Amino acid sequence: MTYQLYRNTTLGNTLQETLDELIQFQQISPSAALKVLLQFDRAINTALASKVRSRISFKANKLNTYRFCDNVWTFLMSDVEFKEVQEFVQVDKLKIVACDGRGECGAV
Amino acid sequence: MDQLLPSPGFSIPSIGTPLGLSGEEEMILPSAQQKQQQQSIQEQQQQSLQQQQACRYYSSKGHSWVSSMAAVSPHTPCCSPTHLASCPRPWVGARRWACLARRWVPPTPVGGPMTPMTPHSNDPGIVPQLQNIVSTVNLNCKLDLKKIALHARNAEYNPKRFAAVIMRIREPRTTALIFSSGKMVCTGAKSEDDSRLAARKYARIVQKLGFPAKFMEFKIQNMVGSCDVKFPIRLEGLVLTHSQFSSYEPELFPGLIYRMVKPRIVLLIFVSGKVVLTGKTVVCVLYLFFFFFFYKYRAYSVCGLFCSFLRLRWLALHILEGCDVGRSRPLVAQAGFFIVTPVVLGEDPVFCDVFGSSVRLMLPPGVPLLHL
Repeated sequence: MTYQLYRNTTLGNTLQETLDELIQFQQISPSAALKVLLQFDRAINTALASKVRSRISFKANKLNTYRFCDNVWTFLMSDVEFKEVQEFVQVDKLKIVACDGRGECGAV
Repeated sequence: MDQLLPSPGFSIPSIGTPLGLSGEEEMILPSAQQKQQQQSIQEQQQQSLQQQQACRYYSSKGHSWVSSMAAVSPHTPCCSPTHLASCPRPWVGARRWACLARRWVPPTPVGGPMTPMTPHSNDPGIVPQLQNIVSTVNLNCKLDLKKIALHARNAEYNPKRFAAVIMRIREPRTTALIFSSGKMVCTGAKSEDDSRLAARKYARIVQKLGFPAKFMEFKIQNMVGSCDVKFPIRLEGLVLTHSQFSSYEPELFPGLIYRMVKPRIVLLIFVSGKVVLTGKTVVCVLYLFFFFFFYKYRAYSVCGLFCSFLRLRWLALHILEGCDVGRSRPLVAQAGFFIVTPVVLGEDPVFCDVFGSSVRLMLPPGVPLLHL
């Protein structure tokens, strides 16, 4: 069961826009586009699960809200700091949408 | 009973003297004894008047007759010379006092605010802190939990695990379990008002989501408090004397579970002296006093957990009843429901047996004590 969670990422959105363009120029059919998106879901899920090895940690000053419904966690945090080995990224607002399944999480 | 120190030449105010109670009466000079008897007769008259006042005071204030009784001498009206002469020896004083205390039961308070009273003495009064309050309320309408979980902030809903929405608010810091029937449980508040306020806030959130929520049958279900009596407690001794109320399985749980019948309160008593109280009744404050009562010629000590709240006065009686007074100790001070200013006996602090554990008894300098 693959999540369609990753369609709303930069990569996923770009793919969707490209497919929409192609449909507009009638170079592919909508059903083909749908198949592409499904394949994308599978590919990105497996890639993130197996190929990604780097670790990143984050710390937020405040957890504004949290929600758990339909097995999906949604977190809204403010003043977050992402830490990799030597890199730091500061973010004012952060939204995390996390799905359950084989221990993998998707971040938006 | 090795040495008998001479009786003090002065009389300690607010402390009465027993009549015909001491076995050392033979040792007292007859002139001193006469003087003492005269004094005690006067005191008896005073004290019966004071007790009436204390009763009235108690019923008007609602509770905490301890402090009011502080000014009264330790004798109850039934302590007539003839009665006392036939009394058992003082070293069973603990039980006798408990019986006496039981006979004189303060009248139940009419009601009114149960505000705790500060003790008059400089004894350490230990106030338990409320840690948690559980309450329930009926919102009186069917709820769509999925809708609540999706639209409300700080909500969890996992129907596979638990059939309720778990919602939290920051002020007062509480957690609520909201069920589809419309019933709600509110936990985590530190006071009853906070619990009610929090429940109202949750009801308001549900109302704002579009449900016709009401606020019906708000009821406090449980209150948990904790305190520290600041002395170690011998749990084995307690379970021996109060076997019908206590259960102590050190292999299962390190604390003694004391189930008080009236009021229905469960206490978890630990060796360190920490006590956890839990119950439905309005047991917000538990004052623990050490009462040291000094007889003219001897002193006995029984430590009583004394509750200034009306309903918890039984706790003190429970403990006093069963307290084992160490006869082998050189000094035993009698405890009652009266406060005697504790002071220092020279440089030599005296140890006495309280609940089987030794407690340092500090007595006034220059006050002679009879050693048993």
